[in-house]
Amino acid sequence: MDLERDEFVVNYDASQATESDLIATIKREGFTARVEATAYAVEVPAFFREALAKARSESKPIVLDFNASWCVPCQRMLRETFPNEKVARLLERFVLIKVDTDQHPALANKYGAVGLPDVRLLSPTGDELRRFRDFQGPDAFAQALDELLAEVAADATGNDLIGLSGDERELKEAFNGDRGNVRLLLVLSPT
Amino acid sequence: MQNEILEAVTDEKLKVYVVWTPVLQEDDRQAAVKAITHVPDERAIHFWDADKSLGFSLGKTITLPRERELAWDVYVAFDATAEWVDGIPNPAYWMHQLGTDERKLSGEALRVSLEKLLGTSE
Repeated sequence: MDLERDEFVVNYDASQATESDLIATIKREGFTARVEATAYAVEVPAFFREALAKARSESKPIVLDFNASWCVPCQRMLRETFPNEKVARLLERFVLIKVDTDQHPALANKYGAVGLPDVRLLSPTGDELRRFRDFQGPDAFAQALDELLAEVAADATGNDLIGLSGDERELKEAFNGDRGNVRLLLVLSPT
Repeated sequence: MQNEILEAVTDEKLKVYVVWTPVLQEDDRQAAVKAITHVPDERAIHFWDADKSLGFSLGKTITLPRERELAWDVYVAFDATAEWVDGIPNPAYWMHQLGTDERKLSGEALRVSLEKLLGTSE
C-alpha cells in the first residue's frame, strides 16, 4: 500500500470485507485508520432505521434476527420458534427485525453477523443484551424473552413504580395535582 | 384493551393512573415492574398497591358485580373537577371486566365517554 496523503476515503464492498479487516490491513502497513460514524448512515436500510426508532420511541426492546434462506437452524426458528403461541405473545412487546443477510450483506457485516444463526436481544436504545448463535427452541427462547423484558422493565421503570401507602396518599397527591384534567384510573392485576 | 383506548384518546389533558394490585398467586412487585411495559403510554403513572387498599377503597365507591368488595380490572374515569378529599371521589364513568352486566368493559364506550369528558373539561 502506498499512501501519500494524511487523510483519505476508502470505499469498499461490504459483502467482501469487514471494517475490521480493512482497518487491520491499513494498520499492518503502519498507518492508523478510523471509520467515520456518518459513513454508516447510508448503509443502513430505511426499514432498519425505522424499526430502531420505533423501539426507542415506544421503549420496546428489540429482537434482531439475522437469517438466510440456506441457514437450516434459522429457517427452523422462523418455522417453529417465532410462530409459537407463547413466543408470539411475548414478541408483541418487542420490535422484531428480521434481516436476510443475503439481501443486506452490508448491514450484516456492520453488525458482525458473520455466522448464522445470529439472534440478538437489544435494549430499546439498541444496546446488545443477549446473543444466540444456535437454534433456540420455543421454550428456551420464550424464557429468554421473558427474562429480558423483566430486565428492561426493571432498568427503565423500576424506580417509577410507586408503592402505595395504606392511605393511598401518593395517588391522592397525583390525582389532586392533576385537577383540571380528565383522569383515568386503571386497577389491574400484573399477570 | 387499555392501550387501544389510550392510543385512540391522545389528548394530553387525559391523565392516567395505573394501580397494579396483587390478585393472582403470581402477582408481586416484580411482576408489577414487568407489567409496566403493558401500559407504555407516557401519560401513565404506575403504582403498586401491595395490600390492595386502593382496590377495597374503590370497591366501596362503585358497586361491583356479585357484591365484590375488591375492585380490580376496573377502568374509572373522573371529570376535571373531581377532587379527592376524604375518600376517592365518585367517578364520572366506570367499567369493569369482572362480569357481564351493563358496565362490562367496552373499549368503544369508554373511549366515547373519555372524549365527552375531555370535551367538557375545556
